[in-house]
Amino acid sequence: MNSRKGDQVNHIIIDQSKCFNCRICEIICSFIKENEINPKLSRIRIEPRNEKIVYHVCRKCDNPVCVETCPIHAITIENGKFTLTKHCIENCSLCIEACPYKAIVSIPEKTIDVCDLCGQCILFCPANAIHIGERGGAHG
Amino acid sequence: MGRYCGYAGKILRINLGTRKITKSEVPKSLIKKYVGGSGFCAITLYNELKPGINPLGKENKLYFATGPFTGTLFPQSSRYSVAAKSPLTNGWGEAHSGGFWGPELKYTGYDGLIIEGISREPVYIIIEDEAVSIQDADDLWGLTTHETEHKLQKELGNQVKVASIGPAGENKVLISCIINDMDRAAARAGLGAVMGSKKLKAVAVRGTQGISIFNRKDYVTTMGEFHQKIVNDPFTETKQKYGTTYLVEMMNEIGRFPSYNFQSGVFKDADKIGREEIYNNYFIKPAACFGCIQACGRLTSVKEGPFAYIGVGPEYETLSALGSRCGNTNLEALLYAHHLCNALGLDTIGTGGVISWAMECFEKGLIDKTFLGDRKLEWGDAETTIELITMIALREGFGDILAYGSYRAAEILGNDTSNYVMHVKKQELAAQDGRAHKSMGLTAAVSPRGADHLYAFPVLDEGGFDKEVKEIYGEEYWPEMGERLSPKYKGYMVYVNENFGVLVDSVGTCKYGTMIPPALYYKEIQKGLKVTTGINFTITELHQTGERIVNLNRAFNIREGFSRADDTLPRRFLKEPAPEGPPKGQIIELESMLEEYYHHRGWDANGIPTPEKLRQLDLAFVAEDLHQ
Repeated sequence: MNSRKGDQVNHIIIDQSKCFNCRICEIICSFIKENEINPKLSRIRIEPRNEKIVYHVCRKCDNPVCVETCPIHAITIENGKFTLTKHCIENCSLCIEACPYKAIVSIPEKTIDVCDLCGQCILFCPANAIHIGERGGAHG
Repeated sequence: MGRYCGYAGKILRINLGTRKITKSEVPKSLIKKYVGGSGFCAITLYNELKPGINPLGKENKLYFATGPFTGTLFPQSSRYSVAAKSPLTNGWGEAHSGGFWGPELKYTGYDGLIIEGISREPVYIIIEDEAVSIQDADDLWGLTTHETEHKLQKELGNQVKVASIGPAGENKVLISCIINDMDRAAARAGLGAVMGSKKLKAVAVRGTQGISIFNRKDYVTTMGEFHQKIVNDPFTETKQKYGTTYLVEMMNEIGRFPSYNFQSGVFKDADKIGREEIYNNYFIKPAACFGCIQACGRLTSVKEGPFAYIGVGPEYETLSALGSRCGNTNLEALLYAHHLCNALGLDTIGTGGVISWAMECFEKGLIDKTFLGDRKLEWGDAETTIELITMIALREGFGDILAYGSYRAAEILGNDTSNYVMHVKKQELAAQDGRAHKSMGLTAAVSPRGADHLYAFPVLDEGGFDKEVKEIYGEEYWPEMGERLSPKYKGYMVYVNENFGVLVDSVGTCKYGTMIPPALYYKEIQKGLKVTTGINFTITELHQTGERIVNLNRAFNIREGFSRADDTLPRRFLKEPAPEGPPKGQIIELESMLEEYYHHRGWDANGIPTPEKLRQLDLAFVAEDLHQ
């Protein structure tokens, strides 16, 4: 499972102090990935908690819980890209529930919908709050 | 057949009396003629509300409507309109709000929600895509808007967005509002009381329906261009830092910041309740509405003491209404008073308006002891202001009189107190002293929902927008068009702005970014509509759509008996010269502006739309109603 150990692994990081909860990242992400505007299907989602925000996005874990949780070992990750090698068990969604970052949106046919670092949210963020950074930093 | 992209495609209609729930397709013809939001409200309620109905009776309807940009990538796409016959003015009642509720309603699959009838018991509505239900609200009735939202989110999950009324709306206080997302208010025209009269405590929405986009290939590029226009506007940095609180010091400087019930447009202690004080001492971070780049909402808090709270803080309007207009310099009390109004579901402009009017009447000795007892209403008494806010919402003691708004309260108190009511069509004025800014005076006089600054929102003549003023209105009107103290050409300015303003409220974007700064104007709205919906509106058609909606709003009021006599301003604005500051000596030259305005509108000398004008706007049926 640790095939990527030692690789440089980047993921989306949101600066708490800058994000003002406009959700433009959710709008653009859902449009780019789903061809319609539907924030519930965005690969990056913001949840305000009083003065802070919590954000849900794939952290590209070294030992991904989603992979380990899958009862039929269907998930493989290569160069950060998620693929399903087998058909899912109907109504399973264990991987969705297992992900500590609530990063998995849904599981269509052959892939798992998670952030693929396309960077559109970064371009549109009016607060300059989003960047791609190495895991292990303050927000990793 | 089929439906336009950009729209959810359906309207939801709920009768709380019969409990009947109806879902209907949005006809394409409706979209082509009225676009959405305010336009949908205007035509539907014109057709369905008979003149003379009781605004708090079962015949009134409350229409929440989004536009084609609501919930999309078009900048500032958080907005919804809500309309009904106003119990405050007895005429056209409409309010707008941002936050997250409007987009979420659209994601449930409905562009609009029409509430009809009256429930026997308190209820709330849940809309989760196709699942729509009316629920018992016994355990919510009496709660504040904040408590209601917390409770519903606890029960239904925190993704649910809530619009609710507080005790003020429940008690049919005529200056009550609808609050969504904790602190965003559809504030004006007393629509909280309409919701309360229907025994509807809240509408909770959660949707998973996507909004389809017509031209997917060009969408991101086009919206990216529009975003950059706002991002690069010099205004945006100020807005992100201060929100609308930056206006306090600015408006005070030009003598347009009402103090002591509009006795002056200058408040000598403005800096005590202004942007720097708030920013330095109470500001936490910006709190944007959905899809907004400017983020004018301010998350603020008072950490301890009697005025402790945390929430989205006051905007410019409230800082005047509950601040300078009441002579109040206690900023912590002012911040808390705003928070309390939101919790209780009161329009802060109406509330500050009625309290400051009462303070002036008290100062002049016009309030009989039988009404007040030993209570004193001294300028700047923040504690009394806060006490009165609760008394108004709960209709306790003297608060029960103020709950009717200052116009009706003056009828109760008598004794010449009506001379000091700062209203138009029985609604309290916003914090825009028209003696210092003439176009704003005309705006308040002619707006269909009564005293209002936002219907035309003529702010480009405040200064600093010379280029834009020339571009939008034409070089031939320069320089007077850009001079805020000149009444010249302001009839034309208000005409142009109203047409655009209702279009902005129909597409579902914000007046910030469209009207000021005018970064996104007709051209951008046209292009935005084309890529989003696929509809090729010409600019002329968009002009006409705005004009059509304005005429419908007008016709609604004419049918209710309004005329030129109601397009007027308080005596203070017409007769009492501004006492100090840059507008010193100025009054509002209303008559000349009104003549010019009617002329451009194609309305007769009594302010009635002519049959020719109505037919030209494809409103022949309205011509029949008004000219039989």
